[in-house]
Amino acid sequence: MAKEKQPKLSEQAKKDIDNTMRREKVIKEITSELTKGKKYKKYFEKYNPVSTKSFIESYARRKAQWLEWGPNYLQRDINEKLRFREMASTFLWEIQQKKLFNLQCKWRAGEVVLPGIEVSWDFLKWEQKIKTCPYIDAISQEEFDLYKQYMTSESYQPKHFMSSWQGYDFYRTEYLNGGESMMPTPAWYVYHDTMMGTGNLFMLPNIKGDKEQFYLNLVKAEEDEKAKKSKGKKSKKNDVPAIVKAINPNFDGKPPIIPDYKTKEEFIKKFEDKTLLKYFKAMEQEDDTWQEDQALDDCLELFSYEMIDENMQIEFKNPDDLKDSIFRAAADFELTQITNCLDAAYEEYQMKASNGISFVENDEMVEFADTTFNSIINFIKEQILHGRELNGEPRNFDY
Amino acid sequence: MAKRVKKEEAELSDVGKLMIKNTKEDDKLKQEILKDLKKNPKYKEYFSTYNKQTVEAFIKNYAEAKWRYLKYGEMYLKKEDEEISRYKNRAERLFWLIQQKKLFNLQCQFRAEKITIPGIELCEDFDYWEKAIKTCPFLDRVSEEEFNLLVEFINSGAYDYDNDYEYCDWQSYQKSFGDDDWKKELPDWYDFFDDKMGTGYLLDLPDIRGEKELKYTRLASKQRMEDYKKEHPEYNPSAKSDPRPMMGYSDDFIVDFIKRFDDPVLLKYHALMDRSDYDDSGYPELSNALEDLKNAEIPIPVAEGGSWQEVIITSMAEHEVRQLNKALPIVFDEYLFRLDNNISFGYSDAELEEQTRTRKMIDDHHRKSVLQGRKLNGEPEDLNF
Repeated sequence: MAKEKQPKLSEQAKKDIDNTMRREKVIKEITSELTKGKKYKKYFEKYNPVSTKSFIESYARRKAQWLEWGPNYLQRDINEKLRFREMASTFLWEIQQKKLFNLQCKWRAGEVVLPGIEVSWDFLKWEQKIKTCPYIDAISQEEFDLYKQYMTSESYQPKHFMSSWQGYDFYRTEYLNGGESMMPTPAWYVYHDTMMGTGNLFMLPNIKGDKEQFYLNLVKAEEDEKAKKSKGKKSKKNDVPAIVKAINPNFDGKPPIIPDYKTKEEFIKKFEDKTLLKYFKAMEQEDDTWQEDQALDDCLELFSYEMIDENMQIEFKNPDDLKDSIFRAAADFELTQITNCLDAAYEEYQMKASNGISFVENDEMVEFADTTFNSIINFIKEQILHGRELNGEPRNFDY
Repeated sequence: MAKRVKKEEAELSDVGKLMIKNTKEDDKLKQEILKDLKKNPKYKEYFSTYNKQTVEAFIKNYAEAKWRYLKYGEMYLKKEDEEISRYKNRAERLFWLIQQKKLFNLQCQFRAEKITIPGIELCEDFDYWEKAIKTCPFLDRVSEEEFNLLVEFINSGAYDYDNDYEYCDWQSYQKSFGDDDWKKELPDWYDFFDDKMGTGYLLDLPDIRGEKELKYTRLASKQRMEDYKKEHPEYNPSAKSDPRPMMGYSDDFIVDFIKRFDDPVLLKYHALMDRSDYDDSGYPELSNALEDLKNAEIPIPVAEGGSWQEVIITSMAEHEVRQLNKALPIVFDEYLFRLDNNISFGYSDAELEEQTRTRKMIDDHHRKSVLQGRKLNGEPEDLNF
């Protein structure tokens, strides 16, 4: 009879099998030690041998797991305990973001010149690298005290996920016209402006910004004109926006395919049978539901282990909504923990600053700021310079 | 090399062998899916419209996802079915408890030989009708009064949020085996019903029929034991069993053992790795309450409670009662509509399987034992006793 040809195992499967064999070997060794080791003899003799055999089997399997994964769990636990301290250290830099933002307002009004800042987008780059931003002084005690006051006040609000620290246009419009935009002004900025009277910086004219827009509009008009003329002749490659070409010259002009809920659903409907579509729908929740469930579990984990350790009372503040109350209780706890760590974080900051120890940015942030983001800014700069040319002006940023 | 690996595999424990077998099977399926996505021309045109690098990433991601769907989809599908109309389903299940109690009352009378019921020959036949309660032919239709009683029960303190009423043995009659405490083991709903309807006296009726059946089944069982001994002469039930206590797997045993014999760091690993995602010790209802909370489409008012666990459980219990109050009248209306229009009540495949299994158990075991006992007692091999 012909033997069915077994496919070659994938690298991952080989790794999994190796791991299983190694684990099984450890289990065997532990079992052998427990069964034959003299030091256990007296202890096990106290119990019914049927049950000791089962105990040994179970214990050996669990011990193998502890040895394999325990160090990771321990590290995670340590990280978890340091989490609030690290968050407090990260939060401190919001003080510097506000100072940079104020500087941006002055730069736009032409009140200050900052070496290395050529266009307003440069501020977005320094947002990513705030710890090494050369234009702002070190955090003073007064500045820290104000920030701490904010963190413990009713005004505290976590930054909206859409808002950036140096996103000027939305915040200025919000300040001048009222209402709330899709990128709401960070509550820290509002607090700072209220307490320090720095809101009037929004009243300064946006001279630089308006000029940049003027030059970019000239380029846009030129591109529109070109597009009109070459209509119908375009190849796919030429359809790629200039900014994308500037960032990734090898881009093939086709849209990316992202394995999100919608695309997978579309793919399954197109190529798979109805059963798989049912399985997919049963197993994959749309992100928001899944995220909310996960967030709820995280809150309960916090209640169960961290809040108990801290002897914290859990208050359900919204009597009409249990879920909201749970989220708020967890957020309140986290905020308290962070604010409790602020003094220590500031002390560490001062120690580093006074000893000339440099602050290190997250590698990913630096890489993003220096590569992709830099390409975007360079592209914009090029456009502005071209706009200057179109207006019969010199190719520089002296405007 | 391959031979050595084969040998090592052959020496593994059963769990190890199974894990490796599963890994190989999973890998085979994963590779098939990947190959299909990469090579099958049917996808070519579709993928050609997307950026090449992202297509590769998509294929990898989708292949893993498709493998998960194929492996676990069926299981999730069942889970999802349970979630659909959660409270409507719960209300339906609760509704049939009215008929379960009425059937139980008939059982008491049947056992006392106060009534005969066509189709019921043995006490165990009630177990079958417990599984087929919706089509039980000898129960009156649910009256308005009975329905209102159930609603009253749900809104009373007697209704237990975490009692999974689906898994109760509604026709389990333990009087013959236990002491006077057997009444305490009866469902809260039965107590409530008896209290309001004055039917508690039925529990005090003698179990004449049950005891007769027991006499016969005991004879049969004795005979079976003797037959077994003849076939297995080595069997010695009077041999002294090991008097030493049994070891368990509980935390106490594990922690004690590590403290005595192992590296103390294992205590930390054990505490971190073997703890539950959240602290539900002493609150077995918490996981159900949490599931309900996650599925809730509307905000749930916060109830009074001591610990956070109690607050969540009580809030969800109160929410359930509110939802059941809405769903139960709908269930009752549907019930009446079906009866008035001769539309039969359906059973799920699982319920039908359960009915068949129960019928078979009764016929293969209980009925057979009773008949055998009759014969052993020198009586006719029938059920006329």
